[in-house]
Amino acid sequence: MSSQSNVDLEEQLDNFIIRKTKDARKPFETAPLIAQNGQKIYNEIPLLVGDILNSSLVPNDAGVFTAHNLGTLSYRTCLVYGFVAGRGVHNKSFHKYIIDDGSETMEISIPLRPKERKLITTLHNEASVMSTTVGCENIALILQRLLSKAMAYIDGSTILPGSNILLLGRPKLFRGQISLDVISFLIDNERSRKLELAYNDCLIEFYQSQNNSEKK
Amino acid sequence: MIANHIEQPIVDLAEKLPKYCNYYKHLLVEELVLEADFRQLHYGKCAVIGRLCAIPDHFKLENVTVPHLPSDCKLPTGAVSVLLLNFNYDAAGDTSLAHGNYCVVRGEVVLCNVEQPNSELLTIRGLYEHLLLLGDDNKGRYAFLEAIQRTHKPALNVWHAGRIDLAEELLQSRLEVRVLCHS
Repeated sequence: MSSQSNVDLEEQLDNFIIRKTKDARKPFETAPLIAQNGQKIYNEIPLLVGDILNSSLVPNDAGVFTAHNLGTLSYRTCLVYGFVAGRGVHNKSFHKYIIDDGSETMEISIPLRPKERKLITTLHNEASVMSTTVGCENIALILQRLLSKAMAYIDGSTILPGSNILLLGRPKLFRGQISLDVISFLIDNERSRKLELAYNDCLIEFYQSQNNSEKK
Repeated sequence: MIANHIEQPIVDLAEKLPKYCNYYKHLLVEELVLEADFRQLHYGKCAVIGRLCAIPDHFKLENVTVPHLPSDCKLPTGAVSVLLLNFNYDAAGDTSLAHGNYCVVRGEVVLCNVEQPNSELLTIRGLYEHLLLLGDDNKGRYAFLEAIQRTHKPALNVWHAGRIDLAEELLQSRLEVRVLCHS
C-alpha cells in the first residue's frame, strides 16, 4: 500500500466516498414549476450578479434559489450579461472565468463538452474533404460554415478576458460560494453593443414589474 | 498590566479606511472630475464611458451627454475630461480605437500629481491614511487636503478599453441598471 503513488490513491479514494443518491426523476421529466412552499419558480429571468450572490438556496427544492432584492423570488435558471474580467482555474471538465456586470463579480463554469467538440471536428474534416469533390463544393462550404458556427456556440476556450458575454446559467452553491454553471453562452464583441442594450431593457423591465407586483 | 492591555478597544485602521471596490462600477466622467472633495471619490475599479481624446503629450477621456437628464444638469459631450494613465493602443485590446472614438475604459481611480510629472500616484485610501496620521489636528488636515486638491487631479489607471458606437444609449441604460443595483 505504501508503495502506491498519490495518483493511485486518489483513484481508489472514489470507492470510499459516499455519493449522494441521484435525483430520482427521469431525465426527460421537466423540473417542477411550483416550489414546495407554493411559490412559482421562475426560469430564464434576467438578474444582476449582485442579486444572484445575495440569493439563498431553497431548502427542499433542488437547485432552486431565492433572490431577496426582488421580494422573495424563486428561480432556477437566469440570464446574465457581463464583462469577462479574468480567468479562473480551468479544470478537466470546465473552463472557468470571472464575470463582472458592474454590480459584483462571480465565477462561471462553462462545460468543455468533449463529445460534441469531437463530433463537430470530425464532421468539419469530412466536409473539407468533400469540398474537393466535383459537384459538392457549395454544399460542403455551407456545411463548413454551419459547423464553425456550431463550434463557436459550444467552445468556451474562445472566450477571452476583455470580451462581453450573455449567459444562460444555473446558480450553484459550493463551499458557501455561489457560482454559475453555464448552460449556453453568446459572445458579444460588436461595437454597437445592441445585445447589452436589449438585455438591459429586459432587465429593467423585469425588475420594475417585480417591484410593482410587490407593492400591490 | 496584561488585562489592561486587552481591555483597550482594538482600533482597526481598516474599518476607518474606504473599502476597495472589487468590481467595475459604472461611473460617469463627471463623477470623477467634478468631485470637489477627494475623500468622496470612488475607490477601486470602475468602467467609464467617454470619448477618447489623444492630444500630443497625454490621453484624456471626455464626458458624454446623458440624454435623459434635465436640461439644466446636462453637460454637452466633451465639456469635461479625465486624465488617462498607462493608456496605449496595444493594451486597449481594440485595434480600431482612435482619437475621437467613443469607448468604455476600465481601470482604477487614482490621484495624479499634475505639478510633478512621474511622481508617485496617490490612491483614495492613501489620502485617508495621510489624514489618519494627522490625527485630531484639524488645521493640519484642512491644509493637507487643500494642498492635495491644488496639486493632484483624479485620473484613471487604464487596464482595458473597448470601442463602442452607441455611447449615449449605453450610458443611459447602464445608469438605469445602476439604480437597480442600489434599490
